[in-house]
Amino acid sequence: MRRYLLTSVVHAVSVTLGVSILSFVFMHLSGDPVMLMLPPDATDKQIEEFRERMGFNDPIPLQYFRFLSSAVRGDFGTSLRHQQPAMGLVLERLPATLELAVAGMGLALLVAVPFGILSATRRGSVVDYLGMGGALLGLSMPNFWVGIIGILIFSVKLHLLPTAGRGTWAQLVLPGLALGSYLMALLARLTRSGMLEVIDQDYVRTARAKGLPERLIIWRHALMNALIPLVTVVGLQMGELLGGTVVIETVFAWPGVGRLILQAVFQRDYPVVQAAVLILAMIFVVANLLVDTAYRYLDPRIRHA
Amino acid sequence: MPRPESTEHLIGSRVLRKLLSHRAAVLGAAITVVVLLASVLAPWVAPKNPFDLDPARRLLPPVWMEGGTWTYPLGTDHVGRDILSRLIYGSRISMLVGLSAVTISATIGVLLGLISGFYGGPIERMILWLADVQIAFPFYLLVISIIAVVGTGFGTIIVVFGVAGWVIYARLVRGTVLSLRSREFVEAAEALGASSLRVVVRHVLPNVVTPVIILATLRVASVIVWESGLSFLGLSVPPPTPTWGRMLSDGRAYLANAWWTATFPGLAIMVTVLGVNMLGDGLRDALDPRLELRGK
Repeated sequence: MRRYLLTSVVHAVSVTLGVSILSFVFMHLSGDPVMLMLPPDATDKQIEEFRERMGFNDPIPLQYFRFLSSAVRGDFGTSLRHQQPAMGLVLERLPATLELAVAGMGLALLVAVPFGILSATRRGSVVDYLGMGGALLGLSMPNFWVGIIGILIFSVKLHLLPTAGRGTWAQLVLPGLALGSYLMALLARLTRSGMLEVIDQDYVRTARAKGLPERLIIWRHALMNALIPLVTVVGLQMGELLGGTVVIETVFAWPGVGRLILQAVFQRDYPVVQAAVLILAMIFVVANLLVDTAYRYLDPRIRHA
Repeated sequence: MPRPESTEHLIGSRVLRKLLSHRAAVLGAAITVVVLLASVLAPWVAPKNPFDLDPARRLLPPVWMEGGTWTYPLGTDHVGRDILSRLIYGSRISMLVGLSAVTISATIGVLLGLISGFYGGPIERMILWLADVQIAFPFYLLVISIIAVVGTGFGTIIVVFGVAGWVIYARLVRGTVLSLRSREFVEAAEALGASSLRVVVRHVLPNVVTPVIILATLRVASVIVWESGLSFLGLSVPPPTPTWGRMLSDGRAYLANAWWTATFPGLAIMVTVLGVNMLGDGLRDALDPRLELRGK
């Protein structure tokens, strides 16, 4: 296990380095990164001064190492729009985005797992057809449309939930559901197929033969094993969830990193885009490392291998 | 003497029979074909010019509601444009971006997957590392950070989606190649002195085509959703070209009194994605029952 952890951490660090290289390359895609960092009306003199001051006349590898050493210290430059450190702006809004992502993930699991179990244990029943039909629709609906339809039904027509903003539990429900809708559908399908695979296994039959109550068989013996593959999917889908916040935060005027990224793109505030994207990518790398470790811990076949 | 039926022909008809007996796949294929036809024949099938504004007829409801008319079957938007015609024209962007981006991604991914699976060594490690690095970026964020630098536009969107989507194909193809390398027919070809290029082109490539086609079909659906998301945010093809995502975004402001403006574009995306997904699932079942792709 210790060796595995060490290898995983080394891998995560090498991926992180790669992410920083890619991010640095993006900055140079436009041909001249200076143009991304100065307002469009900057004079030639200002551009040249800035270029010299920031070291953009230096060789590219030197520029990259300077970028990397600043990034490691959390320095991504100053926001052109807000005149504040870009990193500070991102960190200020990070709790809101994490709150939304956790709500999306939580709601997805809360709905998907019971539906998946019900569909599998009552295969071919109305619940199964409704659940899996719903899941197929969930996989096909863009999350922002789910959000808009949610606003139309629950806010505009029924006046049950607020349309936007952050602060109360009620304000978290619609954006959380919208963000988690795809994951919910995916997890419901996976729980169902996982349960169906497990339900026919010998150890479940043995548990039944021992006369254990059905509820105990489903929850202790079947579900625990069916959930293992779900862990990996949850880790991988974390990226989709973090990426999805850009759209969902826009729909619900949620004051998080996603909305900040979009505003920064429109205001051509590249340092903020870069800081935000790198931070979210880092969170994704760390989350996957944790999920991989949890997966190994949960599955004794791998843990003792 | 009549020529015996070739094996390929037999396999082809078996696959077609299986696909046709798969109800969901037939429905998916029908939806996909209808959307494709609508996008190709848009100028002929759209009842109105999608760009024609008529402020006097803004926010007209669909035909079955009070005040609706057959001239605008699905109603009009906030500046009086025909929603049905804009939906038909909008399918062009969704389909073109979906199909072109997936073609680019699959080409890059298959090439890199073949190289890494067949040659191994430092090249393989480099490609795998690059794949890991790219996967570390949530897809939307990767695309948005490139667009933030290079700007938006029809061509840009296709290239960005195309280049950013290669990883999943490369991993799939590499996996398939690794399992093929130890198979007798590949070993036999190598033993007979066939060049690496010949082995790859004649013996390996035909075996990766099926899983790649299935994956690519499912990915068209994903790209359509992603493109609509970018359109919704105003980061895709610029106006006045109608796109489903932008129609949705425009319609948001009128939810309270004109629900149809944001509902129909969303339905169009959902039905198209559902159709392509069902076709992809059906292809998977018909072409390779052992294969388990999760579509993402």
